[in-house]
Amino acid sequence: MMTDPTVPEYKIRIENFSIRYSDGVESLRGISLDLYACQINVLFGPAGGGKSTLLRALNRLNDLVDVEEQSGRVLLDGVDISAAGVDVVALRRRVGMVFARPVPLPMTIRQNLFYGPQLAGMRAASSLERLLEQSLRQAALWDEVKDRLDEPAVALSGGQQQRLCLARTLMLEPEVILLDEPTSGLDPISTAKVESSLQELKGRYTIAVIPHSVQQAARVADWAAFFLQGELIEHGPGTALFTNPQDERTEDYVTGRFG
Amino acid sequence: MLRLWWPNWALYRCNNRDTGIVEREPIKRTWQEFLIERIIRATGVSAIAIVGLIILFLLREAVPALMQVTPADLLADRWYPVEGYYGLAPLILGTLLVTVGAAVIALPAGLATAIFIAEIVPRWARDLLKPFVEVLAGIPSVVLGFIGMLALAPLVRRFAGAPTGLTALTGSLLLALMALPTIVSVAEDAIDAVPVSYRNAALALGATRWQTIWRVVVPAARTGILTGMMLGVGRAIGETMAVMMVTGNAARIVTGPADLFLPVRTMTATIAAEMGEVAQGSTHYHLLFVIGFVLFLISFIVNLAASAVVFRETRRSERVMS
Repeated sequence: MMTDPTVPEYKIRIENFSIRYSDGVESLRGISLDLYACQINVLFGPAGGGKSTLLRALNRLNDLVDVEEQSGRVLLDGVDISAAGVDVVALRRRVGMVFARPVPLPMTIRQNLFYGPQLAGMRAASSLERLLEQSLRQAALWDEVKDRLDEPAVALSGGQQQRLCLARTLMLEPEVILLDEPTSGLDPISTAKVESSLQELKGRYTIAVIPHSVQQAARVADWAAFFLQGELIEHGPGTALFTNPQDERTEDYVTGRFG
Repeated sequence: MLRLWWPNWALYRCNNRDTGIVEREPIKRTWQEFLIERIIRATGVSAIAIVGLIILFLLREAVPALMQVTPADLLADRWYPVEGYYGLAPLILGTLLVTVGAAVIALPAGLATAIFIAEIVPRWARDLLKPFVEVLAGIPSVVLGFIGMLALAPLVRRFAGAPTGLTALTGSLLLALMALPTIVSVAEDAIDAVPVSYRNAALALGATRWQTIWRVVVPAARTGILTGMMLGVGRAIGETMAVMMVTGNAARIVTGPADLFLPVRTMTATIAAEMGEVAQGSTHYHLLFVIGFVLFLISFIVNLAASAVVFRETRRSERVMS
């Protein structure tokens, strides 16, 4: 990896991380990667490359699936979060996640947003309401839902639902936000709204996003990592990686020769 | 009706793309398709017709009794038809006591079991437990009645200190046992069908496993859970044989929950026990049909309430699809 004075401070350091599912599929092989604070870190590459697996290792959602073998370390602020004794619930409050398909929980919009903080023990209505407005504004959804907070969340459009999920994650005031193809089902206008939200959010959060296309990767990436079949091929600043990729495979993928 | 016999013009299509010549030709509706459509239509219509005929039959047999007995007599608190006491209150209350008792036991237990099977135990244990629970539903109610008389009744007598083991509580316990497989099976299917994305979303928000189940998975599955509960309670209301064997069959007026420890008589048991001996065409005979009709009304109301809930849920989720 290049030593560059412009390399920002890292938030998450992944060291020689490998994971294999119980059906024998090796999903990640020896990944070493830094995710930088206050940057949009893009993980991209063709499907089956292990991007989602890596993202789910960062908030331990992989615990739910049959992982046969896992090695290496994932450091969040220097603390290994892949170890056995980690408080997973507390970790997930620090590392929020937005999924590919919007998942409004079967409650009202307000309840959806209050759910996370209330689980964390926050009860004071005034601070919840303040947080609610702040989160909805950050997710560019406030103007659309401020008068209908007590309607069921499933009544929102797909794009609104996804921004609601982003706001719901922000309600916990996490340090890291993981987004797994957050705009894959959205129209261009909603996609643009989510992307511009990310640009505003990166000042305060560490953002790791799997984009749903190379074009989106190039649009939003401050730093980009290219994954191919479980391996990290190339990692570098977004502009450099997309205009002047060092690895031939990266170039082939970025220019659309495969994928 | 005419449209069914006539070719459907909307089904016509262009058939020559190369030359661009538009010839019209009906898409073939084969006779199989025609036949299948007819059969489905016939079965659908006959299902409704049969229900209608049952109502008509019940009414035809019940109405003469209403001519002979005044409403005040019907609501009186004594059922002794041989001597001309035709009060249905003890029977209706008996059924309600036993059924509500069964529901109070079976609903929480059924939901807990469903959650346990769907969420707690590993997959292989689920594949083992589920058929096991469902086998319970297949046990004939007479057999369960035996078990109730010989195993349950002595226990009730000993622990409740009742003079006899054949009480409303015994009936409730037995009915709960009969309702459980239905509730568990349907509710478990519903819980299992909740998308894994819901669980992921809740967990990613820092919910524990239990919080995820209780606040997200169960509410998301509530339509199916309610359906299972209604089916289970429906079975409990209509159950005859097992109830007749274990409730003691004394047509007493129910005054409160304390009567759980005393014998009662349900509407179903009354019909089953007295139908064989009653003189056909007598007031007593027609009254048994009145009881049947009341029973029908009660389960109809339960089903209506259930589908009202389910229908509301569907409408809301349909809006999501649009």
